[in-house]
Amino acid sequence: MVRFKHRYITVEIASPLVPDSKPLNLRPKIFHDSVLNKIQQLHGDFGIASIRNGFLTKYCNETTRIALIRARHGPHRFVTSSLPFITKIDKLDVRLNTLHVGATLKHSFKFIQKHQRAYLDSMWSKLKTDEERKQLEMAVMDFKKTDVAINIENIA
Amino acid sequence: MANRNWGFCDLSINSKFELSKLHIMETLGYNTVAINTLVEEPNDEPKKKKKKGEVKEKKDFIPLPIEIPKEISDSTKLNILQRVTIEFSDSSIAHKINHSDNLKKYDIVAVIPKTLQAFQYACGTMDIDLITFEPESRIPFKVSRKLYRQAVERGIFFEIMYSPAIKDSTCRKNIISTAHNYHAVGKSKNIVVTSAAENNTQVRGVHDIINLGFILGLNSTESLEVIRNNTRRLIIKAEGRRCGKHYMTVTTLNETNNERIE
Repeated sequence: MVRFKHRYITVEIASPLVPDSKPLNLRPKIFHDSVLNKIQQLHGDFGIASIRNGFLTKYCNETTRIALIRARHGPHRFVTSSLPFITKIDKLDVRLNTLHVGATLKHSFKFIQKHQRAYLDSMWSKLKTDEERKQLEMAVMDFKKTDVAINIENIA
Repeated sequence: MANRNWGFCDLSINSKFELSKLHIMETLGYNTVAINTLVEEPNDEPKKKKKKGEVKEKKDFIPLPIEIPKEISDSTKLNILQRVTIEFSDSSIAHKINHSDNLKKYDIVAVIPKTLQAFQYACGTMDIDLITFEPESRIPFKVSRKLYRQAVERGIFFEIMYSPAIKDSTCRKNIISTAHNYHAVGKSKNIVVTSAAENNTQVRGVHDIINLGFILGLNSTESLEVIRNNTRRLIIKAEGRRCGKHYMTVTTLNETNNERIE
């Protein structure tokens, strides 16, 4: 029996200022805070209080700019409804595209993998040497760079 | 005691509350109030070592309950109870509690566990009525389903207070997220809502509390229960804790009553 339902929201951080070919450097902590700030703006104390249990963000991949947000089922609507209103992360102009909302991490991960593959296919055509392709694949399929430290207390 | 009309209860009023204003509680629709005495965690360990060689000082770490002047208790129809809230962070508190005479003068015993170990102890073995928390900070441990269920089976209640939420934004967030946590973990079983008010402006009417339940993740029947049925169960359970299991109590009527019966 699933006792504690979660929703995993996969978002793409699109930033028109940074060219597609370059990785988008972002401090995961700042992303975490800017999401929370927006929820505070839109839904107030109640919104923050209801999502704070089990809230988790991860900035997964710099090359494809994928981030993952975990929230409790029910109040996750507060998160999804405030995502379109995020225009700035720190000083960087961004737009968030919600790609997928899933119930398990496994399915979200499957989706991300698929998404990354599609991205890879489109980029490979632009590259000439096999070596460059290898490097890109490594960069795209890498999820190890995520910073989990900010969420330690929420992981359970 | 059980056959008294407990009605709507507010099981925590700060000891700073002016007793002369208690009649306001009556107009707001309450039948029972409990006056809370907070006992903070004593951190006098270095002092103790020095004193060990000297004469043993017999000092109760729980103060005497606040006295209610006779004219106030006579003038209102409110049932006024005494409640004590003890902060603690490990099970060594048990010894102190067992040796406290003043503790027996209180009707309700509540605790604030500060660590996971303390929370486990409170849910599992401690002889108490109510588990509460500090609204100023988040609960520093994870409330597990198992412990919550254990506490519910033992008839221990969980408290949610609302007057700090009126005052302050951080308190408000903490209280709401704690309430939601209780909802997620234990389906909001065995919850009582109290005011923890310091003055009469922070108390709200009975029906407002029932509406407030919406924010705390309670449905309409649960909202009514947290202020009426659950509190009544708590009072009766507390009575059972103090006197042992019993079905009836025998009290002598005073003479004026006797004459009336004849």
